[in-house]
Amino acid sequence: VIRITPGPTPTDTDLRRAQTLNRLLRSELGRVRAAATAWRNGLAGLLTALIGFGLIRGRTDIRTLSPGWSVAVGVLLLIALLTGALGALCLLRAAHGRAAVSDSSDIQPALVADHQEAITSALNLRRGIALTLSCAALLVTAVGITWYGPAPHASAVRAPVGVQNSATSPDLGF
Amino acid sequence: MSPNRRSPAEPIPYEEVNHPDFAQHATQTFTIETVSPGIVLLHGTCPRCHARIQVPFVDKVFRTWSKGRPDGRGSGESALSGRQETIICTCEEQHPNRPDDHVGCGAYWILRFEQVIQ
Repeated sequence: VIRITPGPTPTDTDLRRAQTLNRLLRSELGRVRAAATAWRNGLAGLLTALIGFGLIRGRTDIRTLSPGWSVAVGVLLLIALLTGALGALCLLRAAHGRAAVSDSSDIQPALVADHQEAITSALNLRRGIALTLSCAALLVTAVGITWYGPAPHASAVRAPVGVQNSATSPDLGF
Repeated sequence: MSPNRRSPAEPIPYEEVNHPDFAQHATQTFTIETVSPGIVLLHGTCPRCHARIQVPFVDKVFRTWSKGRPDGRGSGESALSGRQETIICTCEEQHPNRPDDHVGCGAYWILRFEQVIQ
């Protein structure tokens, strides 16, 4: 149990601090939403620039890699896709909230409800930033492997069926 | 003039003022409600303008600027206990001369919160 007793005489500094805290609380949700919208737009631009730059060309690039490395690139791209999608959802959640229906008995005072939503949105914003930047890093890594990864060995290249000739066919001794 | 029509009571003007009686009044009228971990609400009436007010105390607030060292505070009532906080009137009533970005009537006081073992 908390007991309340009178405190000392407040100073002007105490008043200003209390006013600042109250102002921060009242503007908290709006500030989170604005920050999330800015991050959402900035990170979307970054990803668009990365993809639009033509880093991933698709099948033709992958086929210039040795099989093991092309699989690695595929896995990286899949993780990047999942990470990016999750990051985008987190950023959208932070910027626009959650579409939810609440019981009327769960309604809190406006300042409390806004504070709880602001803290949840801030958490999603941080997650969204981390996930989206991870997505960008995975994309760059996949592109780096595609560009600089080892080419397939000559012996691993199969000749098309029907073009073997006697000079290259092994002598089986029949 | 209609007999049913009466002039509204003149609201007291906004003025940043404190008085020892404010804290004394608040200790007798304010109650504490723990809404959720990290959020505590004080309910009571302002000792100056007598409006019903709710004063939230939170252990975290969103900000977009970097901070120094963490303050190591806990959450909920445990964060409030052992502390003293400046309370300002946060009423929504109209008080003349109130600056645009301010709330309340301007009254402020300090309360001390102590954990009592029962």
